[in-house]
Amino acid sequence: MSAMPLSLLDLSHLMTIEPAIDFLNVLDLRTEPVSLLRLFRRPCYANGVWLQQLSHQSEDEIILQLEGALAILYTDPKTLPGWQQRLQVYQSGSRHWIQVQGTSYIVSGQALSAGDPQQSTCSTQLQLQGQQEIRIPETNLPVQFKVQIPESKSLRTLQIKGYNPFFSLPAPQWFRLPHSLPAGITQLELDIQPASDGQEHWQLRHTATGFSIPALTQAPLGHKLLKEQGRLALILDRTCPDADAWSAARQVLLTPQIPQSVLPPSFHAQEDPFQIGDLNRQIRQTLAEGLQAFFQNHLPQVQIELAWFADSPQPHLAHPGHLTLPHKAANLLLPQALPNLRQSMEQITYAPGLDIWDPLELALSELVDSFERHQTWAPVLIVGNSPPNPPELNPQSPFFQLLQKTHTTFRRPWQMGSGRSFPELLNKLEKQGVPVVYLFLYGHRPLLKDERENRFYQAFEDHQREVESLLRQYLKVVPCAFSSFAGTLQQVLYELLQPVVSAVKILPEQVRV
Amino acid sequence: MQKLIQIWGETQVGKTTLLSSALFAEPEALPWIDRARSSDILTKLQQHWQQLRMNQLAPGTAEDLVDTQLFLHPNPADLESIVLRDMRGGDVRKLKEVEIHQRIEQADGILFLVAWDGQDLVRQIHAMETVIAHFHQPFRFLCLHKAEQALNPTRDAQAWQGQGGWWRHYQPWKDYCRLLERFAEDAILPTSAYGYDPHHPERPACLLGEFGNYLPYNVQPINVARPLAWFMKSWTGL
Repeated sequence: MSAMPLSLLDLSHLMTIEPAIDFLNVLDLRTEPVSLLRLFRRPCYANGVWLQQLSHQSEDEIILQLEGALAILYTDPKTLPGWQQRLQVYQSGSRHWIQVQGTSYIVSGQALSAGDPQQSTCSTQLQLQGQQEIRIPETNLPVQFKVQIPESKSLRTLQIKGYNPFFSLPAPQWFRLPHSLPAGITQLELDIQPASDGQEHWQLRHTATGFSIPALTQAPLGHKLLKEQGRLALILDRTCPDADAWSAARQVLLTPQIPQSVLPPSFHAQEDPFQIGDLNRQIRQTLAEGLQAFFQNHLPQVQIELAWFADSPQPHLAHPGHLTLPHKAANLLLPQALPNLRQSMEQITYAPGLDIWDPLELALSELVDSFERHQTWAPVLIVGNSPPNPPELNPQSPFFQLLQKTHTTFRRPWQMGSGRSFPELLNKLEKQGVPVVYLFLYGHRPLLKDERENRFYQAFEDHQREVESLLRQYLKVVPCAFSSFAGTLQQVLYELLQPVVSAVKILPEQVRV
Repeated sequence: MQKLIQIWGETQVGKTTLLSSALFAEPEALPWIDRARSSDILTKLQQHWQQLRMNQLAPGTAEDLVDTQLFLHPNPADLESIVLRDMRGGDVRKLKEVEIHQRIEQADGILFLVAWDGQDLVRQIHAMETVIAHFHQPFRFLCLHKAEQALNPTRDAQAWQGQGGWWRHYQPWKDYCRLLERFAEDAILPTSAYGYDPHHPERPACLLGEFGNYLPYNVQPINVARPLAWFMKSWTGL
């Protein structure tokens, strides 16, 4: 290469040399706004788009070929004196060349100590926060993901956080999806781009239009629905038994005579005869005590709207004759003040579950009807482990996946008398900025120690994980082991007390690189 | 004269459900049964079938042996009755070879049931091999049961019809061809006590239960009477 050095570089402020330099940032002044090119010591690091213009000649020599003027951007003042000897810019005809020589290059961020470039691929960890938080543990940018944009214009915010052990990533950033984007599912693309200030920023684009989503300069304030309304709606799944009542709950479907061996240990000592309704006693007590303890400290005047759902007698799913099921599939009680809560909850006893699908949508519907009638809206906390009835036999419905996987069918939704489907009700709540959280209980334990019981339990647990994952596509789900129920409840209540900032649903199955 | 059919299958494979649906879902498919004479004996299986029709699970067989005697109308072979001997499913794995020998020694035919989605298929197959090694009569029939879980009602129509060697096209059966070839061509059939949901014919007629189990729902059994009809034809020509 015969070219003469070109003094475009002001290197006078460079102070120290850093060994094992990982990359070099070059600001390309030809573009408006100026763009940043990142040159790596070795090729094939992540984010290949930045490497396209890099020609690699040897381990110690990198030559960048560009047309037009160049400048070097140093974001780290601790770079090397004597740099001038190794980095030169040449001009050949209308072309400019930048040449870097030597074993150490410039630092702009963290040094790459790992020698194998492959180690730095798939090293970016992302946290996307909308209505729920989604973690993407190992990925490369850019990343495409689908979100469901809510009707509500004020709750269209999304926060991006990232970490990479090899590179510095931009600070966490909030974005607001513009009003011009219609409500519904759409795809976004996340990447990092340099800006004219030389810093790197998260860039979020609407994939279909290429439109760049504006970043917010500060975190959204949101609204404090729970504090403003002084109300919390609690929906209890009556088909969810206590942790150690699983075997008994299974047995009650089969026989009126429950063997002592499957009764929870706490029932052994009690003098009163065993009642099926007691199989969720621990859940009710934990809830009543937890709600009272929390709200006495934070919002003593709160009113709790209690609703429940359960399997009820259905013409097409006859229940075993020895069982008495609730006549209604769902019910909404009058709002309760804290002192009455424990007593009210005693009515919401365990009710045997027949099939995995339960009328959660009916309980939600009763609540939404009440909200609409009184024009007061309150955060909704669902506690249990059941999905709603599948709205329809629609291959696009997430619940259809469970039907497919298990080779099963479902009861007709019109037999359930449900007017509005689960997604419709959630959309209604979302429009009003109402947060809905499902505290999904895990960690039942079978008391019978036989192979058959274990097999049933394994199948049950597998299905529960599936159900939790499907529910996540509709609303925020907090999985919770019975052992940490009380603590998780406090945490969820605390979160519900915080301002609601986003109703954007991130569809976790739809993330792709 | 009387013939004894031993029903052989693992626990939860659906032996009693197959028998009850065979006898009551399509009564016209087994016209040689004298139901008037058999009515008292059939009561238990009829209750089982009623529970199935009401979309309820019936409890499994608890007794060691349950005999159902089917009296027959007069026939050319002078066969007066057929006894269906049900067994506790768990016994398939517990029986020692001597016991197997004793049990099948009394049998004139064996009706094997293996579930398509069965647990421990290898062990079930092994148990079946052991039985076949001791049983030298030609009257054995194999039901590949709960076939609604694996077959499609229209795409797999030829399999449902039981066309000769149909099972060779399906896993896991084609891996066991040496064993399955020991059955007559027309003595292996996909069977289903549940069938498909009449409202959604592509979906098996069962619900996912609250506790990981399956519940019958609007059952429409398929091929359930054909195994008994096969035995009857083999013995009487009817």
